[in-house]
Amino acid sequence: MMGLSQSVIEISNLSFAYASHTILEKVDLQINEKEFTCVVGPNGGGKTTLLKLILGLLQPSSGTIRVFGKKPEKAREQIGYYPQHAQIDPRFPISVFDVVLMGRLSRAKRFGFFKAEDKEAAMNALGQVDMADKRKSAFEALSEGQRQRALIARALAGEPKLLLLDEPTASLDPQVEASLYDLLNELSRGLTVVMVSHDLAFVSEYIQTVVCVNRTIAVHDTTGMEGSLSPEIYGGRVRMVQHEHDGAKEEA
Amino acid sequence: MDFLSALASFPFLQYALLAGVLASVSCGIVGTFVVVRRISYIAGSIAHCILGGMGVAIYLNRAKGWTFLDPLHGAVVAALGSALIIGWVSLRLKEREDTTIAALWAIGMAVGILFISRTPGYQEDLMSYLFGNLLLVTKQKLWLLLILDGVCVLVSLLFYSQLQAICFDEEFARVIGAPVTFYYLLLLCLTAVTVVLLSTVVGIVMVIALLCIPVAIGSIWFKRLWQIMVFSALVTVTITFLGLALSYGPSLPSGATIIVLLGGAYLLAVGLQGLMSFRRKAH
Repeated sequence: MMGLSQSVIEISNLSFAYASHTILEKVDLQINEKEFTCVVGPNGGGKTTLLKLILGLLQPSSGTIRVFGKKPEKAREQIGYYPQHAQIDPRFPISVFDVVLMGRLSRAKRFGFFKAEDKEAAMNALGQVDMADKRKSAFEALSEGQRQRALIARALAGEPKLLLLDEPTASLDPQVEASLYDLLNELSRGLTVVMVSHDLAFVSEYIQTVVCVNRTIAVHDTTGMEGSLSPEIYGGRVRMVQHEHDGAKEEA
Repeated sequence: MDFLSALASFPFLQYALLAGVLASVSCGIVGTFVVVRRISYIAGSIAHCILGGMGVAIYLNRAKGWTFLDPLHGAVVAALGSALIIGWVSLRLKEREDTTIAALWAIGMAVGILFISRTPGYQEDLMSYLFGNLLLVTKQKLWLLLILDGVCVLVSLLFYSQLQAICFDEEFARVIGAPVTFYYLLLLCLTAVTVVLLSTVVGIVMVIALLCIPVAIGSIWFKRLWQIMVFSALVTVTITFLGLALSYGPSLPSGATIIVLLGGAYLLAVGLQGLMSFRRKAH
């Protein structure tokens, strides 16, 4: 089966240094179509840097990175992006529908108003995250979890083939987190999902691959992991990640 | 009702009111973007650079005989120039942004004061540029203001969604490949033009208040950008009218009167909102 699926992200021998600090070193990584991958690692370990490299916001110091076989900057139209929550003002005066429409900005004209097909795509995206009835609400009036779904809809509005999420589970209570995982799992049937998580030890049972980033990376297949650990803490079934690689030992 | 009969018979009062109306439109639109993008300090810096442009224009006009040059021309050039410099610095060298803004703020004023001091003749104008004098607006200036207003309104209507997007989440817009740099510089240029318009109403020093307070009042009740724009433009027109009316009789400085009224309106609005949410909780 694995041999048949197309690779979406291909990274080979990639290093990234900021000033004289090496943040990522000799990274090799391949993520295949319709996989649900979680990137974990300690703060400062290079998770966000890896994400920004995939988005083409940063350039590698050496090595190559290909997204859908192209340079990351050229693949952006196929990427749906969910940024870290903190940078958005939750009181910004805007309707939910207008937030989602922003996801069409790259396809829409450089000026003027959105076309009917943009609005249709935005409506579809809202439907996918189960928020169609909230389209006219003010962004400010939403709950934390709903706001998050609106931003995921925004990422989906561009009809991407790859969804990248930067710490979507931060600051969520367990029930909301569990339903978010349900949603992402649902979505991963139609597209490739890569999320960054702050949680080192546990990942959702839905996740097929765990990528640990701490200067170097290690990839874990989750199928062999225990599935019965403390569901009451995590509000859903989780797997514990056993970090049996050098990066984790250095950290411990 | 003294003011109303004077308004009917004196063109300079009609011009003053018209300048207020012209300013209010772009003020509502651009002020809303400025507040949600949190760049009012950039608007402040642009406003003070205007004095530099005006000073140079006045000097060239009187000392060098460039009679076609109006202070307002200098103001437009200085405003757009400083907007582009600040925009470029803030996009390229994020960490130097506030230093640049503060430096331009002071240098712009200093240049203006130096040139005005070297200008021969009576220097009545400096105070009116700093604190505004609506009653000095001429018909020619009104035409220039109308053109600036037209440009400002047209551009911001055409780019409404795009500007909204970069104000909401610049990084996202960049990631999906929107030309963020262009939109940001466009927003700063619109801000520059609006600041010039507003400086004719309340003067350079008080521009930020006129740009931000109506929007602050509007955003208490309205949760869409366009609604806030319409409402704050109405607030600006109303307050400008009231300010002119109140300052005319006792011949108070009109700009300062407008700002004080605006501040009063804001306090009233905040108080009203507090009262309303208190009553809602009580029920």
